[in-house]
Amino acid sequence: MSGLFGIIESAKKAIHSSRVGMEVTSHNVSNVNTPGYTRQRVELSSTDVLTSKRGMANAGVKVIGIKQIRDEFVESEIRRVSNLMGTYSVEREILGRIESLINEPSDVGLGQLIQNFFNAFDDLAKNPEDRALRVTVVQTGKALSQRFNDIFQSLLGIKKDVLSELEAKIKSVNEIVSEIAKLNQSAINLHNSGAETNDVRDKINQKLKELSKLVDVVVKFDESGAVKISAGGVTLVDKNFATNLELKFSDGQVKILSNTENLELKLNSGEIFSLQNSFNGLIPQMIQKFDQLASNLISRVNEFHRNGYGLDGSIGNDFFAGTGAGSIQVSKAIINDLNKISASMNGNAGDNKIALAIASLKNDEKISGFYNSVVSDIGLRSRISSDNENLQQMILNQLESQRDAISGVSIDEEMLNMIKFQKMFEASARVIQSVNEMIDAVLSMVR
Amino acid sequence: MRITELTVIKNLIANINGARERVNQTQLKIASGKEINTVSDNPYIANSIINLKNLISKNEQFQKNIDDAIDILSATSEAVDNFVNTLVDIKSLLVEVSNPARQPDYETYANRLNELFKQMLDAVNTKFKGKYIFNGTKTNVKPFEYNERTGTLLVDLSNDAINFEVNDGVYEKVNFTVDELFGGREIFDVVLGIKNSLKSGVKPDGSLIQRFNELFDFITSQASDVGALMNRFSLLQKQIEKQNVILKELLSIRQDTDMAQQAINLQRDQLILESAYTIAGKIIQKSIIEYLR
Repeated sequence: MSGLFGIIESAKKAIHSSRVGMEVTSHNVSNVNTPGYTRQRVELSSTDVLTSKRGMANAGVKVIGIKQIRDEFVESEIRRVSNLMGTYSVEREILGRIESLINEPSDVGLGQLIQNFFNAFDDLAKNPEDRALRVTVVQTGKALSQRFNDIFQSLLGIKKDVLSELEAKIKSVNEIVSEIAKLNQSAINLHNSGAETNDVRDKINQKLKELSKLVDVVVKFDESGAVKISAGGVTLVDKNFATNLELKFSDGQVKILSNTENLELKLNSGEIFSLQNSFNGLIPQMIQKFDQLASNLISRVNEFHRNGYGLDGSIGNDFFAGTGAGSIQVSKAIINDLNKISASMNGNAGDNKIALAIASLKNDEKISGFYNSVVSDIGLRSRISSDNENLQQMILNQLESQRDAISGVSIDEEMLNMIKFQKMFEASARVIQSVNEMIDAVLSMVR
Repeated sequence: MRITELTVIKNLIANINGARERVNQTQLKIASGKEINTVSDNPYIANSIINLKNLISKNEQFQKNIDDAIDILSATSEAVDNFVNTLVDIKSLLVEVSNPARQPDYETYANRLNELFKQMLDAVNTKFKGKYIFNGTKTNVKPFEYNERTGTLLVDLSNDAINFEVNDGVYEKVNFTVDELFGGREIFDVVLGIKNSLKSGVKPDGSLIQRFNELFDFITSQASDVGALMNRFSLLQKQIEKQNVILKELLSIRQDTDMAQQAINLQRDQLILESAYTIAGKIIQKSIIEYLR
């Protein structure tokens, strides 16, 4: 016989277990809004069976652990998708800025200014002797070249912003990486001391999610809950070791190096990849396209202009000075003396052949055709990135609700658990009370 | 599937944001009056909008060019009319002169002819918007300079054409030169010769009169060219106007907001948003706690 005291002992275990249950419930409820928190559950088990002469008697319940309810697959998918989302959202943002800079379709975009410029030459062709029209030609030429200069400067400005954002993001990678290294250390310590590493794992997971937005990471957990992270072929974190990243410039290109091994990170996605890619590829390409457009305009207009006579009989003047989008301007000589604008091919004041030839450039494939293709290209790319971003956002929402379904805290459930543990506590207490009365009864027999 | 409070709230926030985004888009479309505000709204349509705008801008330029061409031709036509009327006067004067009884009045006829000659010069030296319209590309040079005292006529003519662009790649001549309309300076020399002969009291040479009549016929037939060209421009103008109406219509279809449609969309989106708020207020507070008292 295990005896009455054995029953008290087993009821005591039940009271203890229900208290742990309440603790876990309370912990879950407290963290209902904590991002990245994974719900925990008390694992209860009946204690080992004692064999006695009269058969078996159970000796109550025990807590065998507090487990997290998580799905590693969903969590790695969340990391992968938020990484892709980072890629597209940065790309969309940069393309969006370029797009709003170009400001098409509108009545004030570069396309309209090009049209205005050639229309001014067409007007001049009708009255080549007219001074007022020459003023219009110079004004539209100035407006056009200033717009080119603005676009060029703004693209450089965007490039600068991209770089400072890149620096900031690299800094936050370094911070996250060193924090994860610290968390790894405490996970290892806890594990070695035999404790649960649940909450440390949550924190590591949360940091990993932040990190995966920035770079495409490869992640490997060990049994203690510590994580080994590598990105772009370089190990970032291993146990409590963490590397720092830094930027290096060569030939106008920016590279990301780890400062411990001096290895280059070759990234494939993530916010940092997008920023690096914009700095090295996208923005220089855009600048190059506008340079090309401006240089086409300069050379085509000047080619005709040089062959014509101004009202003052001068020949061989250039209309535009400069070589690209950043330097294009109406030539000083023209601004100082409007009569140097050439409209005439034979030197007569009324001849308009040169003005007509310049006006006809409005149909030139290398000017407006080229510009339209640049505009469509930017628009299309911006559209594709924002579509991709929306798509990934949808997938991410889906995954997060899957994660919540598995790991999220439900207050309803916790309240019911609370009742469960409360009743367990009350019932066990009642058992003790009853046994107490029984013992009293036994003792009173002796009296 | 387990649905937790966080799931519900996250979905609710996502849905409310979605509804707000739609309301915002619709409001933007209504406020700007444009369906497409950036290229990325719809790259294909945006591209055709840009192309249409280019076409319309070019067409409007062509319209302006044709209007200006018609102005120049109206001035040309008026000047040619004056010139021909003067020639008619000279012709009737020559008929009078051919009557031998008029010989004593030759001096008077010479003076009248001199005035008519100056009218001819005025017509051929016509300026429009500060330009000599009959002098090719030498629009700043007076074509005929007559010194009445010495009786000499200085001529500086250009026969170059002036073209305007009236349609894509179509260049039309808008000026008429002295050679084309009046057969060069000969008519002036003939009239001057007759005048000089009358002045000196001699009956003008028959061959001069005959040449005058030949030139008169030539000039009156050439004058109709001006009207013909004007008609051609008027036709072109109508054609371009029509094209422009069609192009603007096409642009409007692609670019302008369908107000009725968007107003309905706005109503719908607002309704959705309000319902979402109401439901949010109701479901968020409800949990088992409500029933545990």
